[in-house]
Formats: sequence, C-alpha cells, structure tokens
Amino acid sequence: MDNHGVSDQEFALFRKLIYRLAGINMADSKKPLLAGRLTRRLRHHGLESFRDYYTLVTRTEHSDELQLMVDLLTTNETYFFREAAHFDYLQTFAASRRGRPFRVWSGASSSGEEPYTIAMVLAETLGMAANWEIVASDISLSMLEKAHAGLYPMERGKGIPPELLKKYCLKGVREQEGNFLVDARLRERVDFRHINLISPTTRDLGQFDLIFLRNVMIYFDNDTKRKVVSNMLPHLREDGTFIVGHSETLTGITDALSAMRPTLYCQPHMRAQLEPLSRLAPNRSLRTQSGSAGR
Amino acid sequence: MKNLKIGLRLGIGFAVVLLLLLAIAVIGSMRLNALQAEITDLVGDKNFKVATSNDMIDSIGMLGMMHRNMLIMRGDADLREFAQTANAERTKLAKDLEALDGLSFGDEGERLLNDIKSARQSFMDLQQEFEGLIQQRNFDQATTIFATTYRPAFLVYLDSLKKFIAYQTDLMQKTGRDAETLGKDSVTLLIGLAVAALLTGIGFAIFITRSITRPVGEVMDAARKMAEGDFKFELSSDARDEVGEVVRAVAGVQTSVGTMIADAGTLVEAALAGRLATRADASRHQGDYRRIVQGVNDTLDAVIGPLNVAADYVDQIARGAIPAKITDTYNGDFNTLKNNLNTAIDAVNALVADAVMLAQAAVEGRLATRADASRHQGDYRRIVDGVNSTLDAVIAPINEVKRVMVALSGGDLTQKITDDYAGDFQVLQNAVNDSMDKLAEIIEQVRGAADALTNAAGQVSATAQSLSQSSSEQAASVEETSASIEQMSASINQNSENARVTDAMASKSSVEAGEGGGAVKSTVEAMKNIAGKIGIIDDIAYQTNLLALNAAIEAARAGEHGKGFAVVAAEVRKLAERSQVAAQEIGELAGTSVQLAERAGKLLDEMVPSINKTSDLVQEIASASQEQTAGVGQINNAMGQLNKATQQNASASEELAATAEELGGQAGQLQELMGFFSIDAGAGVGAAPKRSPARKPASSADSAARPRAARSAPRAAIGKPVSFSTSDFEKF
Repeated sequence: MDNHGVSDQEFALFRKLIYRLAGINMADSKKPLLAGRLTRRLRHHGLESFRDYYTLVTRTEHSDELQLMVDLLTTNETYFFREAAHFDYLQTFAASRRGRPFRVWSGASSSGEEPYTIAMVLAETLGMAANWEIVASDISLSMLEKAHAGLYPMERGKGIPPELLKKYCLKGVREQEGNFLVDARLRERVDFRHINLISPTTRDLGQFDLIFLRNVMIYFDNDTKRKVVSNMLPHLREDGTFIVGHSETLTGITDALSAMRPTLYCQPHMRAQLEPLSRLAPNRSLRTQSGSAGR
Repeated sequence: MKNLKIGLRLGIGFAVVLLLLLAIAVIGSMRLNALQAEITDLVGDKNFKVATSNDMIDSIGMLGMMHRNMLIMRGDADLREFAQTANAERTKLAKDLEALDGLSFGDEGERLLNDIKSARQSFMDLQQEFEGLIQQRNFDQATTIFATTYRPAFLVYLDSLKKFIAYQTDLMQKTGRDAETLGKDSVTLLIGLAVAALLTGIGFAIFITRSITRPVGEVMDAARKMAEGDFKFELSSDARDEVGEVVRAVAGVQTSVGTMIADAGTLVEAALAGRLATRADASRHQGDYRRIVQGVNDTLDAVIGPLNVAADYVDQIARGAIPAKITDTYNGDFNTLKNNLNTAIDAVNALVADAVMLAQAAVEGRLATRADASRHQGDYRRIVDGVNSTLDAVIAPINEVKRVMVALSGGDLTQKITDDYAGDFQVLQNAVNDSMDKLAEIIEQVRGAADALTNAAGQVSATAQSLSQSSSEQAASVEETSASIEQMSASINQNSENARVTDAMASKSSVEAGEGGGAVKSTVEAMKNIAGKIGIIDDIAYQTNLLALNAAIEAARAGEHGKGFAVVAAEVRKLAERSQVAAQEIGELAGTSVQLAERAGKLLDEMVPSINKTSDLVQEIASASQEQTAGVGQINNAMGQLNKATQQNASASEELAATAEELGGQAGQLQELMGFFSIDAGAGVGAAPKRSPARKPASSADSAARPRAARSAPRAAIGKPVSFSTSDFEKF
C-alpha cells in the first residue's frame, strides 16, 4: 500500500491536532482519509508535503485554513428523516408539551438535514404559530453555511414525505433545476451556531426540551464522549430528553441520565413520566406516510 | 254539683249557713239596739227627768222647811245655817233645772217645763223678799208673806213639778210597753231564723257528705285491691272535683304500676331470651316510678356491665385484638371472671408477643430466631412449638435458596439445591434449580451470541474500515482525476477561446484588408488632391515673402521704432522661404506617394483572399474546440457527480466504519459483562472478553492548549457564501 504521500510522523501530527481541536479520534487506518481530504488544500497552496501544510495551518494567521481543515476532516453523513423512529418520539413528546415554549438543540447539525427535519415535524405537530425554536450547531463552518442556505440536490430530499416536501420546500427551476430549497419560514426558525462540543458550551444557549446528538460520539473516544455529554447536559431541561444515534449509548458515559429505550435518555426521576411517551405511537406518523419507498 | 270542687261545695254550704247566722245576728242586734234605745230613753231620759223632778220637789220641800225654820228659830247662827242650806238647795235646783233644760221634750213636755220655770220664777222672787225680811229681822212681815203669798207660790211650783212628773211617768209607761212588744217580736223572728239556718246546714251537710263519701269509698276499695296486689279493676270518674281527681290519681297509679309491671315483664322476658341489652324506657315513667325503673335498669347494667365487658373481651380476643388487662374493680364472682379473663389475655399476649417477635425477626432476616415454648402452657405451648418447628422446616430450604442466590449474585451459576424436600419446598427447590439451569443456559447462549456478535462486529468493522479506506482512496483519486480533467477542460477551453478570437481576428483582417484597399484608393485620390493644393501653398509662400520684404522696408523707415518689427519681418520671410521649399518637397513626395499607394492598393487586393482562407480554417478549429469543450464539460460534470458520490460514499463508509467500531466496542462490553457469570458447561468459562481495539487517543493531556481558532467563528460568517436567487424556486 502506498502511503498516499503522508508519512507516519505527519499523520501523527494531524491526528493529535484534530483530536485536540474536534475530539475526533483517527485510527492509523484513516491515513487515506486524511490524504484524500487534504491533498486538495496542499495543491491549493502549492505545498509539497503535509508537514508544510501542518506548519501552515498551525500558524496563527491561518486560522481560516485551520477551520477549513477541521471542516474537511469531519465526516458529515446525514439525510432527512434519518433514524426516523426518533421523529415519532419528537412528535409525541412535542404534542405532550403543547402550549409551552418548545426548544430543540441539534448538536451536530452538519449540512442541516436534521434541524430541518425537526422543524418540519414541529411545524406539523405544533403548527407554525406555536412557540418553538431550534438551535443547530456544528463544528464545521462550511457545513453551517450549507445548512443555513437550506439548498439541497433533489435526490437528497427523497427521505422527506411528499406532502411535507410540498408544504415546506420549494422546487428549483432554471438556474436551480434539480435542487430544492427549504422554505424561509422553516429556515427562520433554526438558529445556526458555530459550537465546538468539546469546549464548554456558551451559557446564552439556554435549556432545551430535546437534545439531538446523533452519530457524533462514534468519532470520539470515551474521554471525549464524557466531556461532550457533560458540556451539553446543563442545557437539558429537567424533564427533557437526550437522543443519541442508534449505534450509540450513554452507558458508561454519564450516570446523570438513564435510558427509557435504547438511544432515548432522560433524568432517572423523570423516567416514570416520560417513558410512556416513548412507547406511544404518534397519532399520525409523519414518516410512515412517506413509506419505506422513501429510502 | 259534683263538678264543683269540694271546697267550693263546702264553702257554698257554710256560706248559706253563715248568711243565715249573719241575718240572725244583724236582726238580733238591730232589735237589741232598738230595745237598748228604748231602755236608754227610759233610764237616761224619762227616768232621769222623773228623778230630777223628784229631786227638785225634795229641794223645794227643803227650802220651804228652811224658810219655816227661820221663822221658828231666830238665832243668828241658826239663821245663817238655814240660809246656807237654802242657798245650797237653790243652787241644786238651778243645776237640776239646767239639766232638764238641755233635754228634749215633746210639745206637752215643753209646756209643762215652762210652767215649772214660770212657777219657779215667782217662787224665787218671794224667796228673796222673804229672806230680805229675815235678814232685817222682820219676822213678822216675813211671817205674813210666808203665810199669804209665799205658800201659794210654793204650792204652784210644787204642783207644776208634780204635773211634769206625772206626764213623764206616763211617757215612761208607754215606752216600757213598746219595749216589751219589740222584745217579743224579736224573739219570734230570731227563733224562726235559727230554725231556717239549722235546716239549711243539715241539708248541705248531708248532701256534701254523700257526694264525697261515695267516690271515696270506691277509691278506698281500689286502694285496698292495690294493696292486695290486684290491679285489674275498673276505676274512672269524670267528676271534676277533688275526689274525681283522687279517683283519676289512683287510676294513674294503677296505669303507672301497670306499665311498670309490663316493663318488668318485658325485661324478664328479654333476660330469659338472653337479650341483656334490653332496658325499660325510664322516660315513660314519672318521679319515683322512674327511679324504680331506672333502678331496675341500673341493676341490670350493674349485672350485665361486667358480663358485657367479659363478652367484649372474649370477642376482642376471638377477633385477635387483644385488649389491655381489665383493671376495673369488681366484686365477688365478677372478680373471678375478671381474673380469668386477665389470665387469658396474658396467655394470648405472650403468644402474640412471641409471634410478633418471630415475624419481626423474619422480616429483619434473622431466621435463626425461635420463641421460648417453656413460657407458654398447654395448647399454647403446642402452638409455639409448632411455629418453631415450622420455622425450622421453612428456614432450611430458605438457607439453601440463600446459598444458591448468594452464589448467583456473585455470578456463580453452578450452585444447586441438593437436599431433598417435599411438597412446596420441592416446588421451590425445583424452581430455583430450574431457574439456575435456565439462566445458565440463557447466559451460555447470550455469551455465545455475544462472542458471535463481537466476531461479526469485528468483521463488519474491518470490512467497513477497508471500505472506508478504499472509499477514501477512491475519493482521493477521483478528486485527483477530476482536478486533471478540470485542468484539461480549462486548457481546451482556452484553445477554443483562442481559436474563436483568431477567427474573429482573421475575419476582421479580411474586412479590414478590403477596407484598406479602399482606403489606399482614397489615399491616392487625396494625394493627387494634395499635389494640386501644394501650388496654392507655394503661391501663398511667394506672396508672404513679398509682404515680408515690404514690411522690412517699412521697418527700416520707422528707424529705431521699427527695429523689432524688422526682426519679425525677417523671420516671416525665412518661414515663407521654408514654406516654399517644403511645398515643393511635398509636391515631389505626393508624386511618389501616389505611386506607392497605388502599389499598396494592389497588394491589399491580393491579400484579402488569403486572409479569408485563414479565417475559414480558424473557424473550423474554433468549432472543433467548442465541441471538445462541451465533451470535456460533460466529462467534468460526470466527474463532479462521481466526485460527489464518491465523497458521499466515503463519508457514509466513514460513518459506517465509526458505527461498526462503536458496535464492536459495545459487543465487547456485553462480552465483558457476560464474563461475570460462571457456568458448568465449561465452554468459554473465564475467557477474558475481547475488548475492541483500543480507541484511547495517543494523547489527551494537552486539551488545555486548545486553539481558539476552531472554537468560535463570527456568527455573521454563516450563511454568506452560498448565494442564489429565490426567483429560481417555485412550489412543487
């Protein structure tokens, strides 16, 4: 196997750097990933080696390039209505809080599919006039820009039930043929913020009824997982729910929350109150309308 | 009459009698008063008048006697004594007359009294005369008067008095007769009244006595019957008098006693039937009867109270609510009852205390605790012994279960309950043993599954890892290829653009060459014109020369003042001469230029066809380049899509790899957890669970030196770069 132009020493440098910056834990097998994602930047700057690029990004005046590097090295896999069972729970949970301000935090919003999915579900469940708000955060600025635009290729919208697509998205024509745009009414409801989850989160974030932190912790080692979760927990309302991805668990990460069902966590003393909600099917499941044909 | 009260009835009777008595008294006293008046009249008036009159007669007689004595005994002393007595008698007479004068008389009496008075007056005058003569010791005269006038007057006076007395005595007799009549009438009347009163009193006495004695007799009869205990008699009265009330009162007594007897009967009946709570209603009775009934009730209470207490205690003991010991004081047999109950309570309490103690010990898990049976007696001791034995029987299997469960809690599933038990304990034993077996079986299966899962997860992880790696490599090479194509596309584009520009230039040159030919022709014409116009300039130069000469002459004439002007004129002349020379040169040059221009025109005419040919060729190159550009554009597009897909694949496979690793980690955790159990099967026991590859970072100690750059970027930066026009969107 060729080394893709990355020496072991260079890889070790970047591995340390990205771990420190984003908590992402890169195994040795990720060398091609690093090479594949950063070669373009080397070319862009006309650099010969990754060490030169390392020197460049670690110089303080190149913080933009450092951010770009972080953007490139984070994996941003997401799609509309991903892990759809969570949105059934969102529906029943939000319905149970009707009449109260409802806040959701999408902890790693990537290119925005997750917060917009949440927005559609809330718009359907609580209505546009209700007091609900979504905060979407990500470490990647470029992803946040994408997400903020709310512009997607048509094939990315396959997961959206057709009537929701009709209701909350606009079809691109002419210049934008083959794309679709999330309606401004929904985009306005999502507050995008640049937040690195491994640093203590900003205090003005407030508290949330629901926190989505899905398929993020898979990139972290246990120390980082603990740090991230303990940074986020103060922002969870006492009767709130913390949602992780379907391959993730908070067991061994925090004792402050207990599982009502796999991936759905709440404070232990609220379990009796919230667990029945997690077993309840929504009156009108939004995802089943789209059917499995959606994927 | 019987509706009147006896008092009233007696009152009426006595009143009638008393009225009659009063009538008798009044009439009697009236009659006696009348009699008394008559007697008073007789004694005080008539008798007094007669008596006084008689006294007056006596006094007159005395006077006469004295006066006679004076005539007889003529000594001074005697005379004085007689005169004194005569004066005393006169005084007495005057007093008596005065007394009579104050009394009343009838007409006849008044007349007679006046006769007396007038007689007295005449007599008085004679007396004075007589006594005056006496004093004068004229006895003779005196004797004469005495014999002649004195004596008749004396007799008249006496006679008038006698007549008065006779009249008064007459009146006295008449009054005495009236009084006698009155007395007789009164006696008759009083006797009549007394008889009437007597008869009335007897009548009332008989009637009233009869009206009382008859009903009293009935009551007495009833009272006698009651005294004999016979209350079955009829006694009633509608009379409103006291006897009637007595009858009714006795009847009331009969009723009250009857009710009491009925109540007593009820109580006896209830007592016989065992209804000890039954009591007579004391409120139905009055006064002492109530006290009697209340007394009976109280007596019953006193007797039944302890019985009830005993019954209550026995009941409580029977229901298991052991009461406190009886502390009240009872007498005699009640005390024995109390003591027996207290003994029972003690025995049951001791039993309960031991049961509670055992239950408490069982609740607290002290299963070795037993009760001391020797503290109990008889069957109670058997109960305690029985409980102790039961505990022994229960606790042995529980201890066995405990042993097995303790082992289970330590993860040891190899322990079994080996002793033999019967009945439910056997069920328990089997259940525990079966549970352990089942659990061991399940755990073995789970462990197998966990192992398989770990293996599978490892494989998935490895595959995902290599997929991710190759995806990344693919993405990198696609990225590179796409970059090359990008470059190629750019150079082709450049070519195409150049060709297009050249073509344009050639076309333009062709046109311009044509235009140039035209321009040259025009130039030739213009040259020829210039050559013609040069002669004019030559003339102008000649004339200017002449004018300059003239000006020089004029300047010389002006002397010092025209000096400057002369210099100008010389310069103008020089210029005129140079203009002439230049005009001649231009004329020559124009001549040659026309020749040259004509040649250029010819050359340009020859150039246009070749330029046109070049332009055609360049157009062909340009269109070929454009086709190439389109082709490369498509390739580039395809590469872009390929790149996007590859990037997405790379991203997805990256996420898959991370997920697979997470899964492997959790499978390892499961394996580790299952390692806690030890089972008999022997397979895989104690095998150290395989942990997924260490994911601990090489270093996390330098987290304090986290760069600030990545942490916060300005919010404004978000959402700027992606720009599009909203007019390019419409509803689905």
